[in-house]
Amino acid sequence: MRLREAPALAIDACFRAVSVRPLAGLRVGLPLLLLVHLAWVSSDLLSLHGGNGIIPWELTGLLRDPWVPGLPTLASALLPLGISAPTAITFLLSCYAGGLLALALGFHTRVSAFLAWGLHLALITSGSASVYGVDQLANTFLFYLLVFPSGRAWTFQSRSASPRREKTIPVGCLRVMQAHLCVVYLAAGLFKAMGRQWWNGEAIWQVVSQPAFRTFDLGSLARHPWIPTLAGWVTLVVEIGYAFLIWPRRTRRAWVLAAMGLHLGVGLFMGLVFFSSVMVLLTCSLFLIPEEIQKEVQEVETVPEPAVA
Amino acid sequence: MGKRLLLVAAFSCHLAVVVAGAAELTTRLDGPVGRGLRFYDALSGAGDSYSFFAPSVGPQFQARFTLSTPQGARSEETLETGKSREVGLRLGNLTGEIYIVARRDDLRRAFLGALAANRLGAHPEANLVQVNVEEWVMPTMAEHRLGARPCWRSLYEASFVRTSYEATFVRTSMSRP
Repeated sequence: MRLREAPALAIDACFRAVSVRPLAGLRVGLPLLLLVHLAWVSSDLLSLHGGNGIIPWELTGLLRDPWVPGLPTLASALLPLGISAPTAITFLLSCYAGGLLALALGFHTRVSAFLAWGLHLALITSGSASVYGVDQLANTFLFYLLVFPSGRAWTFQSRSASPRREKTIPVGCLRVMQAHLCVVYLAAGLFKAMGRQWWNGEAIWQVVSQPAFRTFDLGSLARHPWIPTLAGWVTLVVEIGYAFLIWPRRTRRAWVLAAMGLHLGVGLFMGLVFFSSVMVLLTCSLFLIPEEIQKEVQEVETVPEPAVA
Repeated sequence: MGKRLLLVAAFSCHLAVVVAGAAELTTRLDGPVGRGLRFYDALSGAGDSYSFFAPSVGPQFQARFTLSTPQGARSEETLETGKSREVGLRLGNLTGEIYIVARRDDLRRAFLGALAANRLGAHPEANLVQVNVEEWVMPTMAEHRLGARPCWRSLYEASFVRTSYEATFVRTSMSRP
């Protein structure tokens, strides 16, 4: 009898109610970081994405997936309305910024999440030659903000629009994002461990010496190879260990601190400030913000909400 | 119960794609299944691989331009000149992508020509631009201790002259690493 009930119990366990605060933290933090990044690169956006940019649209079309709409596709759709390509790009980028701001503030979160995710996807599709890892991660977690009910807390909507009983989400939503983040770290760590460079310190030496990443003159590291060697080992331990040691309560805080230290180092010595900020935000919102339901909400809570509203 | 079962199945499939993508399996799939997975990956990021700087650190690329005016004045610059670090990083990636694409003979002229046209557009006084795609060659720590120093090595070189409306290809040369 118990064996028969097991699948049903397992499915019910995925819908146990947990606090929406981790998801809400991600919903506030990620769009704000993307807005700062947009402002940061704004003066070069037309060079990277415009029709007459460094690589014209006729050529970017050769580099991207034809099935995924990029900015040229969206801008072309506005041409019949008499809107020129440069104006269309400015309009779409303004919509993107508006979507990010509305998402962070919690205004019509589903619509604003769709706008932010769709236009971010269009940006990274048309700029596929210039994107890097952080753009993939932003796309992934904007997608989660679109699919999961992220607008149930920390919004500017009226109280009647978001009653107290809705301040929970099914635990499955949170676990999917947490598991995805663990896969990111585990894959990054295992792929590094497959190369000799991460064991003998050469990877750290190469990275901090490349002009694109160099923030300090660290040429003296060559005379102390044990430092980059140790840094390489620590990177492997933190990234591979993350997938396993971020879950137990006893090691969680220590591993959150270790991951933050790793990204602080990446930001400081490689200058990847935006990437590091996004990674710290993901770990903090998904693993540091408590998922336990606050007592007063728990008393009102009776039926868990569906995963996808 | 039926709706919950469907949602759990969807979550499970999504995570399976995440793991397959991280293991770089989805890129190896051909046919409609592979195309479908890659499309879902593009939308959701579920099939991405995360081999950041792994298994080894790849080379850095830059595009260097030597601009000449009819009066004989010459100036040098790179795509990253005067840009922020974040934009510089993206431009470096872009040059790396062009380097990969430019291995194809039929695309090399178009992409290097786009770079040349971009610079000629930014410098209306110039009538000739030489485009150099270069790779950063970094010695190992042991080589560095013995006196070796990093340098830029030219991979592709092409010259373009300005005609009335466009950059016209003059010549190109390649040096394989």
